[in-house]
Amino acid sequence: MTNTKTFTPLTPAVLYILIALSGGEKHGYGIMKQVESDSEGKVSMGNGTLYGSLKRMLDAGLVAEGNKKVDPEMDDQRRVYYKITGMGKKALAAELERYERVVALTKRHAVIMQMVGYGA
Amino acid sequence: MARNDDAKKYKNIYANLLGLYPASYRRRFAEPMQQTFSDLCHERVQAGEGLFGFAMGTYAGTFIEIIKEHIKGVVMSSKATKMKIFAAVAGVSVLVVAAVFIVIGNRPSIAQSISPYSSLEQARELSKGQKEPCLMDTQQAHDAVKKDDVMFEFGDEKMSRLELEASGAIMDVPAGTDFRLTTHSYKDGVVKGAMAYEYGYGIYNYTIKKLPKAGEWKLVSIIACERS
Repeated sequence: MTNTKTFTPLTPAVLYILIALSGGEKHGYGIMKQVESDSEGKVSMGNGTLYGSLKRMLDAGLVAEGNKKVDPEMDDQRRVYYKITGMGKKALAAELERYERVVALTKRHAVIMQMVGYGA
Repeated sequence: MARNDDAKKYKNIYANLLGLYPASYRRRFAEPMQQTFSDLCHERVQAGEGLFGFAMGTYAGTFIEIIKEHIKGVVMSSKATKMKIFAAVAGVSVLVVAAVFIVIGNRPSIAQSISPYSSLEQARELSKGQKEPCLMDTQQAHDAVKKDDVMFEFGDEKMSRLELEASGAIMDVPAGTDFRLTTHSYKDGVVKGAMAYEYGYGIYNYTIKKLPKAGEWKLVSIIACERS
């Protein structure tokens, strides 16, 4: 018998990468631009952080490497594309569900909302 | 033209910096990282922005990541040694316990110690009144599954792919909830066992099928069960 935990809360970098890839496979630069756009410029991911996170996600089976190909919207260089896996979709769904529960809980507790000054 | 020359210079420095990553990391990511850096330089040149600040920021961030990767490598290797020692000790302990059971003529399933859970209502509700006994651990199945399973680290957790597949069975269970997994049987690529969530999320017998790729599993079904 083993003791373990369900999906641990995802780091912001992992969460944003999964969201970026949920719209389709992307190369490194494409992921960066998508994260920047999704977060309305609030999250800017460096190259080291992006590929460090991708490595952990590849190891965990959350994303997979696709074939190298040319991005028609860019130059003729062949780029490595990354795509979300079934496990990645599951982890993303679980995390979003967790966020929804927290928001629902907060809304139910008007006292907490007053304490944090939400909606004041 | 001057900016393009600058870009070339910064790209060369970056390529050299990537050489400081551990070899396995470098082989896998140096090329796409260089490509992405090149794309970012190009974007800035096109927008008429300077490259100095961007390049220095990227070098600093990359250098920190390089140190992290090296530290992780050291920690992982010492962990591997620890795991070997732990496995040896656990193996000897299992043999001793098994010998004791044989000697006294009492041979219950080694893992009959699945913890009792106070709330099974939700589990019963999920299975619409079905009740079946929870499947207990067997050492034989546990060992057989272990051979086909793959362990990985995610954050601070060490998990197996099978556990990951099982843990996501019920989306309603919040992330971070403890759960226990038994492995009852493993035959023709099908694993059967029980999983028990804490905090009243119930106990379920699961069926998980092995996929052709190493360490890949697919949850087939869960049925609420009751500890006998």
